[in-house]
Amino acid sequence: MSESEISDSDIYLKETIRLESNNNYLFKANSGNGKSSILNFIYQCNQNYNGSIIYDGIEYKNSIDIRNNYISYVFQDFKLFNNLSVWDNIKIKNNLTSHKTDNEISKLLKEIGLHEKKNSLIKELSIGQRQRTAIVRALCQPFKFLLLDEPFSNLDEDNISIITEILNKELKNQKAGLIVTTLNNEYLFSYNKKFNL
Amino acid sequence: MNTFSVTIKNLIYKMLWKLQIKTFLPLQLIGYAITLCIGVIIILTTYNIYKDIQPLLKKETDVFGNNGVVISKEISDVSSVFGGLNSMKGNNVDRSSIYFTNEEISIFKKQSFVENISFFNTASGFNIYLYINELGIHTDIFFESIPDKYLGTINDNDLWKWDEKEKFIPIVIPKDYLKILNLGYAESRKSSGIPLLSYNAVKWMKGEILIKSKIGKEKFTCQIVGFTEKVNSILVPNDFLIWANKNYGDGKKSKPNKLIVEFNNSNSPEIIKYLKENKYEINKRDIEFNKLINIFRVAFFLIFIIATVIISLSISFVLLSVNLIFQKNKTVLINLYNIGYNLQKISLLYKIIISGITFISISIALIISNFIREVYRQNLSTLFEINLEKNNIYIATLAITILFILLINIFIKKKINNIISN
Repeated sequence: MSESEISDSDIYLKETIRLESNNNYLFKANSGNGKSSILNFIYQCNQNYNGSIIYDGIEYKNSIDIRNNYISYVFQDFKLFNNLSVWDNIKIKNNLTSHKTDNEISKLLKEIGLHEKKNSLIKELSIGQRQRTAIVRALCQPFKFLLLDEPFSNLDEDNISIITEILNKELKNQKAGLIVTTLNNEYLFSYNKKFNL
Repeated sequence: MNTFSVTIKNLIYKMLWKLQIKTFLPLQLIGYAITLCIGVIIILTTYNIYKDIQPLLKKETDVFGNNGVVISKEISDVSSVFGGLNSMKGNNVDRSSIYFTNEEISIFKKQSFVENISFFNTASGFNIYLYINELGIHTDIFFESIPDKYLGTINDNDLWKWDEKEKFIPIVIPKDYLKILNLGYAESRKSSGIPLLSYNAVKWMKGEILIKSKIGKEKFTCQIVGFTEKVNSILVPNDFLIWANKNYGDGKKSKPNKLIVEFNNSNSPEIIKYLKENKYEINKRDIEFNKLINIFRVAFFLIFIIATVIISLSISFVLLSVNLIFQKNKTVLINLYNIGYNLQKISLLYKIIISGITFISISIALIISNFIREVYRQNLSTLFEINLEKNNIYIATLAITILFILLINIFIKKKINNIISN
């Protein structure tokens, strides 16, 4: 085990785990070992945990502010609205934050190959297309951390490559940290620390 | 800067509402609007009719108020025949059968339907003569009085008072006396030129009263200030009769031959049964009128209850529908919360739609009930003199609507909060 890799015993025995923006973290484990739970705890959409999660010295509970300004999350199940189009699903988030212009969103959709589908309803899309929509939506807000829960599980190599490049660029622009859970594909980002659950 | 933030806000809701509007169930909302509207129309119209007709029912065209009835004893054939014969022979007449004994009054008072019993005050121990020269009337008369609380419209009349210094006696006579005067007395004395008199004309006419007793005699001016259909007696102010009995009377307390009885439930069938059993007489018009008022009240109350049930059902219906909408779209609500929409934003459209429908429904109901009020006002005005006052029901309805909308909003917020918090 390298120095940057913490063993499964370490993560639970340690009193405090400190994650810093501008750093990339990987949570690695087999299915059912609590990878999504950890991200949900961090995002506060699951509060069934003991202990505390502190952002910049403040313990938040149910903070909408955190969700709109500090942490962005690409959920494993995407949490898209089936009755809205690709464009509307992205806009419903961007209208809240006003983070990107329509042109910037269009450009992103073009880059990930979804521009032609922007008016299609989510329910008409493939899983991969939905995953890409969720990733674009997650970029429509300022953040200090980007949480990705199995982000590439339904994407082909080409799309993974394109999206990785977009994400890296956005992380750099926002000087944000990345927290990824994955079963594989751990080579896509350079991680400062890896957690084995 | 302000304009900018408003635009952003609108944008937020534009997309959010585009999503949420699809979660509504239009038929259920229409059903809610219609049932609420019908319920409110019924309740408002019932209330309006009740309030508007109440003065008509209570209207005291008679000087004897509506809060009591006069009860006397039946005079049997036997007592009148023997009484008449005795009288002709110069013997004292046995009149005891027409008086109420203390025991009878006490038993009567104990009846469950009796609220209160009062007595007539009678002039006793002196003679009274009435002179109205314009009509050629010179006659013996009698006076009685009743407590002022049983006098209806006469209370408003400034003339209805006794002042020893003024020597003026206001009088109330039965309406039928005027008919006898016009159709009987005047008709039989055509040659004397006695005019036909209206109720108002009589009220302008003044006469003279002479009181004569062993102590002495005294003259007074008098005026007929009102008429009654309920009391077959000549009424004067209670204060005057107390004064006259004290100054000219023989000091004997008169026995009651008539009672003023207040019922707590004039609809009770026990009343007629009791009166029949004891051979007491009553003006049936009083009982019938009171029965009518009670039937009206019961009918209005029932309609009111039905309307309240309809409204309650419509409210329960919309709350259930809203709950169903939320449960059906649980995922949408949770996802909105997860991508950064707060409870306020998520619940806003539901609150606006339900509050809007509630407000519009009740407003339409108010307009319709007002229209109905105008229609029945026109119909009633052909039958009665009716003045519809502005009533406070509209302000009260508005206040209740606001309160009701607030409660619905709290319910919506609470339900959504439960869903997104779990």
